[in-house]
Amino acid sequence: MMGLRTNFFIILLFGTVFFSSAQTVLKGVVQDSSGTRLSMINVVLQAFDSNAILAYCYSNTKGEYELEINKKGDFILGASGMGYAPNKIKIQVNAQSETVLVNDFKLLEKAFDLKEVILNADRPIVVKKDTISIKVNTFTNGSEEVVEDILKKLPGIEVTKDGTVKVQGKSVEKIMVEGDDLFEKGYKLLTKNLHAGVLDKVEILEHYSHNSLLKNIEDSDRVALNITLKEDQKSTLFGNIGLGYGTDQFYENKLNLISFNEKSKYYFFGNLNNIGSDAVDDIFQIVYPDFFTAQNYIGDGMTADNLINIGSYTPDINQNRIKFNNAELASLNGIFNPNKRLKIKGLVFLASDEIGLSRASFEEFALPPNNFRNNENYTQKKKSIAISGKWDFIYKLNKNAQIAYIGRYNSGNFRDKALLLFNDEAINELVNNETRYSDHRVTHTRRFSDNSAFQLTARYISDDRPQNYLVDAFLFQSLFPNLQNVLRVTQESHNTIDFMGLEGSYLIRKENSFVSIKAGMANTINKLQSDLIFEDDLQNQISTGDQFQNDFEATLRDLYTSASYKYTFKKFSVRSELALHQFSSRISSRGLVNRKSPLTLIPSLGLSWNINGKNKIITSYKYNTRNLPFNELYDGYTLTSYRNFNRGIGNFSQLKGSYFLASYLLGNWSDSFLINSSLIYNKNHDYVGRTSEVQSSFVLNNTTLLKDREFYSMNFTGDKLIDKLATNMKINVGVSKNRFQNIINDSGLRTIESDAYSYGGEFRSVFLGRFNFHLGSKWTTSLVKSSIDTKNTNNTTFLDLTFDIAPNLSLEIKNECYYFGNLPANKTTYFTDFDLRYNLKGDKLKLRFIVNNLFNNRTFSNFYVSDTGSYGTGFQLLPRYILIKLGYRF
Amino acid sequence: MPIQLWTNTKHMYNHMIRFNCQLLLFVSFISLAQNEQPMLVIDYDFYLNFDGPTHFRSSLYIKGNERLFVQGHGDNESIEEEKEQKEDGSFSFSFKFFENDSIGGYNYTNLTNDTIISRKPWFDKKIYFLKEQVTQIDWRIYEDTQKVGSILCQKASGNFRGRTYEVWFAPEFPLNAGPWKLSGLPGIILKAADTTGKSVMVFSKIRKEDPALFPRIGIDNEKFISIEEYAKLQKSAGQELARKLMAKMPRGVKIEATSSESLEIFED
Repeated sequence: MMGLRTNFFIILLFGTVFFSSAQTVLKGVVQDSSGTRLSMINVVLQAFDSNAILAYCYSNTKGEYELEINKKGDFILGASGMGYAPNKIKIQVNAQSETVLVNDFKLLEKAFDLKEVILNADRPIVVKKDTISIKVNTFTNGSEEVVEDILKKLPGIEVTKDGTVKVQGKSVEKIMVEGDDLFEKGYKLLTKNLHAGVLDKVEILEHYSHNSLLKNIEDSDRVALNITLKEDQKSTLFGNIGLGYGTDQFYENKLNLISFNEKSKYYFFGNLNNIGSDAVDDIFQIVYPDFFTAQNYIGDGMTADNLINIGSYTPDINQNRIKFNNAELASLNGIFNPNKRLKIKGLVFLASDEIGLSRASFEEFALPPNNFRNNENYTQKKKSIAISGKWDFIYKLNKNAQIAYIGRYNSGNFRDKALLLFNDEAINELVNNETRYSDHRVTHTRRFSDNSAFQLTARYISDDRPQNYLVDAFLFQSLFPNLQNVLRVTQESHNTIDFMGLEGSYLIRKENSFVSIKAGMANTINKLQSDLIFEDDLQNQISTGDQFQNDFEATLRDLYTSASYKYTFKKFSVRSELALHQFSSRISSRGLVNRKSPLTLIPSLGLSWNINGKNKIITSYKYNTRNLPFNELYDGYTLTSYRNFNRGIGNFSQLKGSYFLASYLLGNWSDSFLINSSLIYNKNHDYVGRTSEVQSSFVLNNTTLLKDREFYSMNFTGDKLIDKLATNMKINVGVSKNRFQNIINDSGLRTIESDAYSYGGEFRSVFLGRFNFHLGSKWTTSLVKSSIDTKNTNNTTFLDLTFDIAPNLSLEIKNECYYFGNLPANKTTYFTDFDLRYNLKGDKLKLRFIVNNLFNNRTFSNFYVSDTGSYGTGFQLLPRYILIKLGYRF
Repeated sequence: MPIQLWTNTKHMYNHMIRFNCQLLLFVSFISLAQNEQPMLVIDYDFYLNFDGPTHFRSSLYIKGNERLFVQGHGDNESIEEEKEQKEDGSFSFSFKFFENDSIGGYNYTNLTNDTIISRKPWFDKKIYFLKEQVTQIDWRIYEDTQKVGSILCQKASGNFRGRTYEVWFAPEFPLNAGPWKLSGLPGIILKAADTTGKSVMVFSKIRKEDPALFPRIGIDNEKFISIEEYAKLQKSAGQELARKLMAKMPRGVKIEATSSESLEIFED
């Protein structure tokens, strides 16, 4: 009996131990030494032997605190408050049932000993003047794969869907790695391929200057990024490879290989394709950036011309559609830092391409009495092979001075073969071109103080272009009535430019102003030898006489000085510039020498007014004097196509013109209504006009200097959000009027007014779901009034549909429609392209399924009106193809 | 055992003490009211990373049971609207994503009545005053410690308004305070980051100031909106802003067609 009871009791006891909540309440009052109750005192229950905090609270307005704990053991209960010394006691909780432990605290005053200011030296973002340095790991969580993924998460940095990196709305100039710039504007190769894990810091460089010595002196709004790598990751190899094969033997293969080391960085790029993709473009931008941007150094953009370019006209659609090509491109790019003072960059690329173009065109010449219609059917094949190189040596003399040498070399052979059906005559053309281009520039930069610097540049450029043109038809019988049985026409030409220049510039920056003073000397020599030779059926070579020959040499020396001043005052900003040129020209043509030495003054003025956050007005005015370009001076006829001759003036002349621009902007991003309007007025007091003799089988163009050509243009763009339709609407309206003169055949001086009216709009949806569209249409009406009146209306419409089918799968359907109002038939052409993207392994392995030209359009036709009639072309298009691309990033 | 004794002794005193206490309490209330504790000001770098300029120099003023977090002005206020007309007729632009006026946004927390009043400058020059109860964030405190700057801090994490924050608080500053609306830990929160990295707050400076310099905020006559009304407002503004952005994009430029993100995420 007893036993049972004991057992029961024991069980009950155990039961109690298990099932009763061992909830202990700790409470009490917190007071200061005088017994005053203290509120907002932190009371914390901590584990005895670790940092673990089990419970905490703050005392209330009556100084009371209360904590609950479910565990038992030894703990530390402490009260602490600002201005008091912390008070901690050890407590033991071993109750098996609900217990209340009361413990009051008495806190002794302790002076709040924050004597000095405490600064955090480990902030994730440190701003020093124009450099913002961001420690990457504060903002990342490890799921990022490539640099682009990290950049998207950093404050102030934005990455658009196509990979363009912007800082505070501005596109970055370049993204450097450890101070080295391998890609310039082609940085997407870096951001989309370099592993995220190697990044330590990202620096935003504001007011960025390509030349570090000009920083804060040069007026720069540019932004660049610099990436620093983790210590143990400074050597790395990465890149991507893409293979694409499709129907009808279409292919596109690409390889990007990038290697970083402490002292050197390399980048290799290869591209093989036959889908019309022009890989040379990206490399070209790195080697010849000055052809696309404003002039930075004396001589930028200087090249010689080719007299003949077959098939240079292409329609305004994606060029990939019309180029039947076979391209191979390989390029190697490297940066070496042998020591701290010297940096060497080298780039070499080889490109070879075979481009086929096929087009049918007509020209309707409607000026009586010579009205005619010409039909041309062209099939041409352009073969080109070019090698280009660029090398930079930058040597830092000391902290404030550096000297840089940049050299470029380009050598190419181009062979163009065309079969032409001209009206009913079959004609063969062959052009052989060579280019030998070299460019050497030495720039010395010296910084005198924090806001002034001096730069001296010496430049030498040489561009040599021999060309040989052959056509096996003689269309010029009426020009050479005495010649019989001419079977072939050959034009041999040799055009060269030699440029030498020296320029010094002094830059000063003050708080609200910026001054730049330049002085220099430039010497340009252009030589043209050209000869037109006829060959008869007996293979005799007949020279055509000196009217159709050029033995031309022009030397233009320019001694100049210019000053530019920019001043900012509150909401106004003024920019004025004055340039003085002493030109000295010597033109020698077929034995006759002609000299001129005009002194020329070129002023310009610009004003901008930021009225308030929402309204801004910009105006600018320039009175410019331009020298006639060399190719308007050749006074022997040169053949520029199988039936076109051009002849220049032979005398050095200057063209004066006035340019005026005014623009008004209303609204900002948070407004639902935005306006951007501009007005441009140009008046060319002198301009290059044409006196032409136009016949069906040939055209003779003579350069004529005429007076007073006017051009107006007004443009207006408005944006409005329509909430109910979840769509944005954009309206664009523009007018331009061009008034000029020319002489055609026996017309005498005729005035032509060419007007263009454009109007269009866009709708872009912003649905929150997986589907969105973008619809746009633009009409252009051209009116040409002269001795004949012509009118034409064209339209371009597009509709893009995007479907986010799944997180890894997206589809884009692009539709375009081109309408040319005056085409007799086939006025409209439709294009539809599919692009399906699937991410197989996150971002590392991607599959792409492309269908191009779904409706298998074979021809693209367009139509334009001019002051002599109209012309239209029909281009042969790449047929419909399906391409499957696989891309792997490593 | 010792505690029991103590309690007994206290019991004996209670009578006397109680009497005294009342007086004392009365006195102590007055003392509390005249608390001459200095004001603590903590400057924070407040980074918000939602598609645009994002660095704010914020300050947290701590005085008695009042907390005022002033969001401050962004680094990039000087870049407002910049449009550049290019020769081909297109234009490039940069824009400011956060609406701000000269006073800016702030969060005023009053621990006596447990409310937070927030001032929010809005689009089209509107200003909203939001009044809400302090949300008791369910913090989980870890044993990890780390120095933030030179101050030893302990780690905690908790969810608030749709985001998970990982914070570091300083036990050597035992105050219930933190940047923005984060609080409720046994120490001032000196560093906080949400797990997606879209919002980061890190202290840059801690200093003492004369309590008379606590910023004056005049909110007595303002009309308040509730947190539910604010949630609706935020949702519609986010969508509206994203849509306005899309209007400006030319063909070929793609933007994610989602509403813009916000710091506080409300469930529908």
